Amino acid sequence: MHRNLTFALVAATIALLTSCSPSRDDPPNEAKQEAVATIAWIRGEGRAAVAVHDTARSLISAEITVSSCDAAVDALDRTSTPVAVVETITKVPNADLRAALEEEQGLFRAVVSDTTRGRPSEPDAGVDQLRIVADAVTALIRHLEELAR
Amino acid sequence: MRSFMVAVCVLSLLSAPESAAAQPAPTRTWLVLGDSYSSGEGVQNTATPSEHQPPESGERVRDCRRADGTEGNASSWAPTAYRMVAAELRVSRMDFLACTGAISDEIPGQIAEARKRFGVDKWDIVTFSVGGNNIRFADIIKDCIGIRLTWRAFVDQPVGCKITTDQLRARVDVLAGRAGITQDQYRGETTLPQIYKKVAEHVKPGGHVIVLGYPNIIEDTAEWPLMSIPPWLVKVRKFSCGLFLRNDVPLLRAGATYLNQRIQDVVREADLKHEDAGIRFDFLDISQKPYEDPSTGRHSICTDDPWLHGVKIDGEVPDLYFKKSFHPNQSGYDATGKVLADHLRARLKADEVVRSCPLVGFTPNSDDSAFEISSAGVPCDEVESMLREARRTTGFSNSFRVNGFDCRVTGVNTEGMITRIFRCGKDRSWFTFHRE
Repeated sequence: MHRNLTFALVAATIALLTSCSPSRDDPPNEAKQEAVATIAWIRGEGRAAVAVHDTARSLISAEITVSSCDAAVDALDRTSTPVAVVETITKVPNADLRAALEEEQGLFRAVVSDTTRGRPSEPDAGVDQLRIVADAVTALIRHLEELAR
Repeated sequence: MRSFMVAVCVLSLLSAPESAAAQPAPTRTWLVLGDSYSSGEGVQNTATPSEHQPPESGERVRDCRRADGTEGNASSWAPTAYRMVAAELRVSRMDFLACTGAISDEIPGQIAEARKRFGVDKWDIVTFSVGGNNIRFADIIKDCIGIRLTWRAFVDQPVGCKITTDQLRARVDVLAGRAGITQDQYRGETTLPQIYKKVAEHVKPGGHVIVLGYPNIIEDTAEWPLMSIPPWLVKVRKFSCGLFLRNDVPLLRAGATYLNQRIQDVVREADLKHEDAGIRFDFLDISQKPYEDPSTGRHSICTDDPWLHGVKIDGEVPDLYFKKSFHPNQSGYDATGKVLADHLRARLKADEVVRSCPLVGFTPNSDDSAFEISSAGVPCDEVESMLREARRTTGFSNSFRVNGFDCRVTGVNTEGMITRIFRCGKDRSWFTFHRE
């Protein structure tokens, strides 16, 4: 997946530079409403799910070690439960953010589990993938915030 | 000799004064047995636990989550189908005993509860799904996704399914009666062939047993929606969906497919076994229609329009209720009900209503009160005529042909009581009579 992602990102960047992106000045009503609902969700019911995103971001910003993973898990246990987060994610109004949060949660779990148990990561589930998806979640949230204004 | 005595007994009573055709058209009765996929687990508004206390539950009130469609309760597939076909197929009542969590061993208890509550011993239609809990399918899924209440517990275990494909198939083989029971791998002490036999004892001649399979819980990974990476929204494949890992999906889907295939095999065997008694067994594979059907779309978990719940929790810690997870939502039950209704129309319309011919061959006051005759597609006066001819020509033997009817006689020994079952057919019409 890593190679696929890299290729896709390079291709998309080129595409972005050579074409016009849709104007964000006047988003369609439905898209704006969904963005407003999604941002409201992030600040309300979905706060715990986004806490996983924040934790994942903190984890990958430094070297990933057993102790940093332990700390991340302890921090999460103080704020949420995995089942509640997963169920909450299913209610995200925006489908792209929903898919990205699901993926981030799965990769976070795989990276932490593999690290704390001293196992090599699966080819599709390493820290590089987690970083890409965490960046995607951050960008999506920013995009939705803009849309919701 | 005994057969001959039966014939004599029958034929001595053929002078019934009333025409059977004058009788009001008989109606069918429907019994709903089975597990959570039959009871309606996954929808809101099910019957309150205190209303349903299976006999084997002792003092414990068990919440069967019965979405029986009555008194404001939601409808699982059976009540939905019932509403669609009741008038058309003359189904007069539905007795609903399915219970969430049920294993095959509980089916006799459900039948016993139905007999006690409704005062009925045999039904015309019996529908159910059962077996998933015997092979601990819910536990298998939970192990795959690692449902835990803390992140510590969540990440301290290996990710992905713990069971292998061979282990899963072995459990299904036990369920289908193809292998001996191993207690640590299998819940219960009965297998499907045993349970289907028990069910058949409570189906009227001419009746139908319809066994439903299980849907694929999760969508084929080839069909998973792609994930969009912003800001340019590149589409990429996902590593996981919900809590399911991509690599585990083939095992889960293959397991469900194998489970459905084996159930279908046992249903086919039961159909052959009970056909002579006029009881038909059908398997309804819901994994394709309605859940993955070109006309209705794809609706497992990780589709755009899922008809099954992913992880779903009710209640608060410590009384969290997880059982709705991986069960159909109302859309799933509605769609399944429609598929079942179509199936019932196709199967029962062809047979027409099985009619009792109470005034042909016996009277309620006779000594042979256990003697039963029912007719599917054969008018009762034709039954009468055939029996008169039978007396004049052959009497009854193991097989005979009379008045254009081919008849076969089989015997069933139940705890020392011999039941002889006569099944006679001409073209596609037939009738059945039997006595103990």
